[in-house]
Amino acid sequence: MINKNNLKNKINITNYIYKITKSMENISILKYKILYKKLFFSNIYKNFFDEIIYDIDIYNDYFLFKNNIVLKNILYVIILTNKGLCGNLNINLYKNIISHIKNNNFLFKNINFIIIGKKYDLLISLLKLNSIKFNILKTYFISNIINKIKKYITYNILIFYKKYKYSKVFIFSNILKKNICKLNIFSILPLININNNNIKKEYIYENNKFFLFKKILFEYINSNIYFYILNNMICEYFNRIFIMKNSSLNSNNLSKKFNLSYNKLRQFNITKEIIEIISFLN
Amino acid sequence: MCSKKKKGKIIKILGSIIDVKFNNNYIPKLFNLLYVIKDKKKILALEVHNYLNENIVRTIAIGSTLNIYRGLFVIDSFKKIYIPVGKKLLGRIINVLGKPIDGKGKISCKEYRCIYNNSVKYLNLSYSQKILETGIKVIDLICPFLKGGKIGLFGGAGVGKTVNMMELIRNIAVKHSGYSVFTGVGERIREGYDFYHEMCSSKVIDKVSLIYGQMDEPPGNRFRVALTGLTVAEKFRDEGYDVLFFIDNIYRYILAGTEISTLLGRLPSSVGYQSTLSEEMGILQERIYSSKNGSITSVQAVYVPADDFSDPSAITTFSHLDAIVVLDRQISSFGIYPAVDPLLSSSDQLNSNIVGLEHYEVALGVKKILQKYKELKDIISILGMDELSEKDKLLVSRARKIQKFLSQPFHVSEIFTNIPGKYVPVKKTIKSFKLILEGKCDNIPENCFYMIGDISEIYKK
Repeated sequence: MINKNNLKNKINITNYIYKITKSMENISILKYKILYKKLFFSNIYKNFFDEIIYDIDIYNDYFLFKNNIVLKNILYVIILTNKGLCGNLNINLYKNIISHIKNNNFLFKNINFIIIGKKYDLLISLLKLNSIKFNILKTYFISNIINKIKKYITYNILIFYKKYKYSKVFIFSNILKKNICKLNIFSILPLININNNNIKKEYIYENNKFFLFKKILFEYINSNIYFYILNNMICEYFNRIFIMKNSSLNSNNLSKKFNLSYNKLRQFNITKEIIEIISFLN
Repeated sequence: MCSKKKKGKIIKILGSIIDVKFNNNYIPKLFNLLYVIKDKKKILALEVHNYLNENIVRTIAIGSTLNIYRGLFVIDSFKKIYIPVGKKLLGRIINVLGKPIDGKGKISCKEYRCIYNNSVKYLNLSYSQKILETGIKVIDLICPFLKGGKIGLFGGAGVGKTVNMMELIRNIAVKHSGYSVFTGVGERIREGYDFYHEMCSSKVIDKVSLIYGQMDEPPGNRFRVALTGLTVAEKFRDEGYDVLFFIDNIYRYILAGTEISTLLGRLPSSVGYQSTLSEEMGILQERIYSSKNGSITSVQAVYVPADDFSDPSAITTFSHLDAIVVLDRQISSFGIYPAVDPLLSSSDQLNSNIVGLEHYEVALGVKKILQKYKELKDIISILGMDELSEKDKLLVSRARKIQKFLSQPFHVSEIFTNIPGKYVPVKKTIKSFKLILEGKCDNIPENCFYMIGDISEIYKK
């Protein structure tokens, strides 16, 4: 038999959950809107450096991908979330990393990770479960890294790339496309020569090609990582809005059901007391 | 003088329950009124409710049993409760037995009616679904009253329930030359006193008759006072008037019935209510109907015990109501009077076949825009107005104008507000709200919509 006080406590708890989830939903909407504006400008920033780097058209051996070279080292820059409560966003990413490693025959290569975001415990267990040998170079919290990408991540990627010859760098993140969160795998290094037809472009920049390339490469990696971090955060808040909306609806429904049960119990108790009085009289 | 044969003696007193034994196997009819005689004076009325034996009846005291003791003589009046009815009751306060309690002397009416009447015969019922124009914008638009309908009025203390009732009484009296009957069932004596004096000060007392059976009175009084009030209202209806019949509070009527049922030792139903709950409610509610002569429109204040809408008392009451008017404390705290919540209030008559397509569409539009505004409120409180899209901003500004425009200066509150009261006909109400919905008032600041009658007043300003 359910106690009346217990039921009242449950009603209070569900009401609190409703309040919390509702406010989390509203906060997610707020953050989503702010990030959406940032993303718009970051996209312009990214496209600007993308265009320049392909315009320069100076890919030395070092940064140009060649099919005949055997890759030895792989670096995954994985963008996760700091918090949960965003559905299967991270789990999808873990699964895809593992399938990416297996499908591309990277199992016997030197696999390295730079992880952005707190939620990587499950990824490690899954990698171990699939007997994948790996090495975690660095882990960062998103909140700490968002303004220091250049200093930490871009710098580390370039160090890794220069240190280990014939390596490949991938960025794994979620991006929002037409209101659907999708997994995105972007191979950031080595650069891919898009000018396949060998048509010579007119060089329009004032500085020396090699000098410009050195400077721009850094900004190019930086802008791309920033763009994907923002995208992943947008996906996180986008998912959280829906999850919190559902949970606030559910807690509201649950609260209504509990209220109904409480009222029924209240009525039942009164009826019981009256029956007891009548039977005593009889 | 009553013959010896029809005399009885009190043999048992249990609170309001009094058992009377009559001589020589005489037994009075059910619901007959008996009188307790002391020093050759009628000191208490009793109503026959049960037969215990061949000559013993169980009665309910209609009055205080303070000086009653065993052995006192009781006589049968050979009739049920009869009360005076007619225009002489206007401006007067009577009790359940039709006796004046306002200290203004006796009421000498030509006609007396029994409080136990049958409901209107099928042939005499008025089938037209006419809407009663109240002149209150929010009520006429969102929850239109049906002539001869029953309206539930929900609201705690201090939200303007009394003011609303008084304005309704005033508008019915002035615009429809109708009368009102106010029945206080089991509520506070102070409230009844305030109501009487406020009506005196707002000069509508000569259009209303008051019947009080308040909290201090025994259950018999509180149970029958609603029927007394209804009998007075029925008389006005039969004379061809549109009558407004107020019951404050219908739950107390049920509660008094429960007390009587328990005292009589009847088997209770669920939650301790009397097993005849729906019958008793039906007897009262089914008498509130429009006849071919006139109409009785009933506005009933409803108390929901422990806010439990699944309580048998609430369920039984709701099944009879045609419209629900919810007065909200939050709206009144914004200074918007009448504090009617347009989203929670509803009416069965808000149907395109009854009120017309234009009225229906405008009312629906108003509800829709206010609902959307309610949803956006949370986001506005966190993000601020600037974060909303242009479409939402426009919607919010229109919703705020509608919210302000739902306020209305009342005639009865002119003394407090210094704003002359406004009676707004339904047609003007619909036209005004339509203009706001269509965006033709987008350039007018929202403060201009506060406490005005129809929209033309803004242009006049």
